[in-house]
Amino acid sequence: MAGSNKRIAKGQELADITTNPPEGTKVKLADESNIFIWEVLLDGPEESVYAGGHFKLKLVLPTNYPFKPPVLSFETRIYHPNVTNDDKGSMCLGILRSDEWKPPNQIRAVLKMVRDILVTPDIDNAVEGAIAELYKSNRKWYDKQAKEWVAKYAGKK
Amino acid sequence: MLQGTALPATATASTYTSTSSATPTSPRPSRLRGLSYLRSYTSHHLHSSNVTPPTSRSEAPPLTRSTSYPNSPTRGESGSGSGIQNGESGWVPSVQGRSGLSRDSAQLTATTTVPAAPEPSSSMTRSRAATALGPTPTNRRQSTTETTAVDPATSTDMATSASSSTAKDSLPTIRFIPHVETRSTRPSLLFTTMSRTLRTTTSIVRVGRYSERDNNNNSTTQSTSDFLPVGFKSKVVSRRHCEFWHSNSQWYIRDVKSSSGTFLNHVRLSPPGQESRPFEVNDGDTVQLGIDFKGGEEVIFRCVKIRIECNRGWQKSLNAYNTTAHKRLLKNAGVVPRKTRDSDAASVNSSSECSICLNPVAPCQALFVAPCSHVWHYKCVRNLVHGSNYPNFLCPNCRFVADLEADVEPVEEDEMEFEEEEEEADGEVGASREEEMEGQRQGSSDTDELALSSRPEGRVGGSEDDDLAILLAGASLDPSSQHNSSSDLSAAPTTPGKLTATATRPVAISPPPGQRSSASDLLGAGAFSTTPTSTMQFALLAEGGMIADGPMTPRNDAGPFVLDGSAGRSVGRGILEQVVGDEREREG
Repeated sequence: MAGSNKRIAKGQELADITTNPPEGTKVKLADESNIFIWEVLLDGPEESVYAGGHFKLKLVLPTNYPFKPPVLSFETRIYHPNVTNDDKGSMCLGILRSDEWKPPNQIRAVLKMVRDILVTPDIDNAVEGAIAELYKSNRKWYDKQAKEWVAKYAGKK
Repeated sequence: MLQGTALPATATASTYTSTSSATPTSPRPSRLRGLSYLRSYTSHHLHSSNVTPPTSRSEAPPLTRSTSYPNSPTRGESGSGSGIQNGESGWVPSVQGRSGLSRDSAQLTATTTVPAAPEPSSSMTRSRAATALGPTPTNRRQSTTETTAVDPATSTDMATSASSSTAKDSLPTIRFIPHVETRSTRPSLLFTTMSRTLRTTTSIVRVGRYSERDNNNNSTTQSTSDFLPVGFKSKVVSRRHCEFWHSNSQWYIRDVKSSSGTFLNHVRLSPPGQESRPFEVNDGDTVQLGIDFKGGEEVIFRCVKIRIECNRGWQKSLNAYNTTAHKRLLKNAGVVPRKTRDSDAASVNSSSECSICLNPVAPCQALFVAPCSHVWHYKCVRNLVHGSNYPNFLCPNCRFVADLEADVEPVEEDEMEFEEEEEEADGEVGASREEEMEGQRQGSSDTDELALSSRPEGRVGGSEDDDLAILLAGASLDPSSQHNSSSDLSAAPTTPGKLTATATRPVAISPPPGQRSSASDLLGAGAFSTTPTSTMQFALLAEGGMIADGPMTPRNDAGPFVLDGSAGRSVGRGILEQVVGDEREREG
């Protein structure tokens, strides 16, 4: 997979995304020697209940990226129907699913999608059924809960 | 006659004959002197004969007889049929038995008899002439099939002209490509294609056994050293084996006291431990380092067979041809104005870049165009293409599944069709296409015309060698035009005069053909005309094809004389039969 590694190694995506990051995100390598693990700092979108929160995400690129999708997980805990409500904080959604992933997709698109998801959770593909249920039945309670979590976990920079 | 047994005797006979007949006055002259004498003699006569053809015929017979008929009475008595056989079998071992030096001239003398002896009465000379002519079409055919339609002679010509014209390519480049002989039973040493560009005009490419130190030296003294090491991981390669250098737009090779020998087009350059004199290296030549040791079963004991590619920088760099071809390719594939119909258009980048590596898709790259008109670098999607579900190709961009084995059918609006794949070596593919295109441009004119029209060109050159070459061209192009399809023609006739001139010109160190005019110049050059060029190799191939595999026929792929017994045999046979047939027609 020399070609794919070159895509990362030559830093096309990384350079592009660090110099010109999508709105509200910061990307860097978690470890300078390992180009496969990226650290993403995501600001909660203003129009969402996560506004003001700073979320740390870990993006792991498979060795045969871009033929396989990257794996994205919230290191900061977040109250969201599409993110597992544990310390893994993994999410599997949309283009991140291996049957949906296409090599032309780029990390930029992934981050954009994550922000969209924070604004509008994808209830139909929820991994946390309870949260999804709450989102549907009692939106206010859900909002309150999410904001509490933001304050609790994602407040500090 | 059993040819195997006949070989040694005739070999000595013919060597002896050619020298003695060449210089009847001196009893035992040096071969070289004798041959050069013969050369000047024949060329002189030929020159006059070219000016006035009718008189030359009357002059011709004594000359032919003196050059080709041996002194021994047995051969003189032999009939026409066996005379041909004699001629063949006598001719080949004389090649073996001699050094490359005299061999080259020997071939020339054989060919010089061509125009001088058109009468059917001297059957042996005719057959010799035919065999001497044989290699030219063989050469072409082999090169078209084997080396992806890049004729070495023409490409060298183009390469040199291109490199001299553009200042950018001023520093010469040489590439070492693994050479696979179709006939050989086991592979030679595997190595990756290596390319070296001289840093200065006086740089030397030093070829030897691979060593770490070389590489370290290379990295530390990168900018200062004039030596560019090339290492092969084989025990049969000496630490310092041979050297390549470049002067006057010509590459040269020299064996630097290697123990197991350097073979240029199967001819050993020097005895063990001795330094050889410079030999001319042309594009397409094969160089073998060492001989398989211990049967070559272990990889490190295998010899190295290299195909040389020199001064092809023009082919890999951007030029008008490949840029336009690239544009047309993308246009025909509908790539450039393509509307993205992907769901997440934001993540799918513009179509002029490879969506896998995100680098732009540019000329001089191996590309893969899927039926859905998406383009990637071939290397990037190779694993997708040749995956487990091979004939089906799932487009990573649009998920369109294409059957790569589907029949290719002509498209109405497009006159050109594009295969999905360009191979890794897209430079060569490009070259072949270029030649195809040139063939199309000149396509309507037929070969005979071209061969004829090239004659005056050769005259302008003024040297007998060129004239000979033209004559050879005229004769050798004929069979090809008769029973060959357009593909062969397209590769060949672009510049027939130039092609044959380079193919047959044995002159190693010589000014361009336009400058040398006098016979003395030619003679002087001829004395050094010892380079076993690629044409020589094919000449040997064709000759080898004539003789059956006797016990004396060397057929090893490792020995000092790697005479090919099989390649080009059918072609050679065909020509022989044709000649014999002609003979019988005339006689009968």
